Amino acid sequence: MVTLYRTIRANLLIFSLLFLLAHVIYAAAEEHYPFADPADAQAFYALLGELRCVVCQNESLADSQATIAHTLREQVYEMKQQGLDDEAIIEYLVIRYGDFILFKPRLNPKTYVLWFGPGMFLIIALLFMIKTLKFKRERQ
Amino acid sequence: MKKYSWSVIPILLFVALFIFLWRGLSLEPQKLPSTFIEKPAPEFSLPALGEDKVMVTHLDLQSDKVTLLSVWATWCMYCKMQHALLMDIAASGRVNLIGLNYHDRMDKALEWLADYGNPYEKVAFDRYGQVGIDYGVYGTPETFIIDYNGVIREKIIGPITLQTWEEQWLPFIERLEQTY
Repeated sequence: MVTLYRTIRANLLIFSLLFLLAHVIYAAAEEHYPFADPADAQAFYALLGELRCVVCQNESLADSQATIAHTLREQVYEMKQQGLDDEAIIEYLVIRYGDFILFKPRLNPKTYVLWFGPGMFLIIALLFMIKTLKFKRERQ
Repeated sequence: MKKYSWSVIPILLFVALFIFLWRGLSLEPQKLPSTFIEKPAPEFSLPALGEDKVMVTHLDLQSDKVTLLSVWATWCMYCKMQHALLMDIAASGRVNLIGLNYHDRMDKALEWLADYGNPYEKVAFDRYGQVGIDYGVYGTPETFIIDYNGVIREKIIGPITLQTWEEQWLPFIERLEQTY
């Protein structure tokens, strides 16, 4: 059991690293976005990775080749250069394109079901399971 | 009896989930609703296509007719498809038709209008798509329907066809006309 857990964890780690690497290499190879501080560049690509391309919807702004993604990348780059924080940039994009542009939906009344629904389902399922098991045991 | 009341819950949940997922099959996630519905058209000021020292602004979107702001580009195939219909709509004189030439080159845009006719009262030239971003444009053609107060009431995503115009958009415009 422990070995299985370890294997899964190691695999997950490798997958996430490869995934991150793929993002950075891909976007960086296509266009040139110079930053004075490498940490800023990293933050820039991390932000792009969280934003959905509105045309090719399973790609992030970091990977997409669509014209609109290119335009929005430039826009995000300029805003970063002006010293705006992620919060402000995300707000700018959400005003224009809606919550859909975020891969990770924000927590608000419209998304409660999305965020808490699975947990609720799990609780209901557990309650039901306990009830059924008890019922079976009583019959025995 | 108590046993039955419990066992019905998963079935109800299953039915609810089924309905949700079934509806999900007919959603069109590639059509993003505009975030500007029921909001004033964002301010902008752009050079008019092919005219020196003339600007087109958001104030041109307010008139005594319902306004259509058509976002188009010469590289957009579907724009060509709906162009003849736009010519007919313009000829009917029913709406104030404004163009937003998006992410394009001025010489190409002018050539297009010379070749296929110019249905627009005015065309704003958005070279780098900056105003497009401010309007949440993500593809072409997109057409904003704007009321007498300069408020965006609807966004048509993709080309307008004779059928959707007659069955959907013209009645929509008629309703806007009646409310004022």
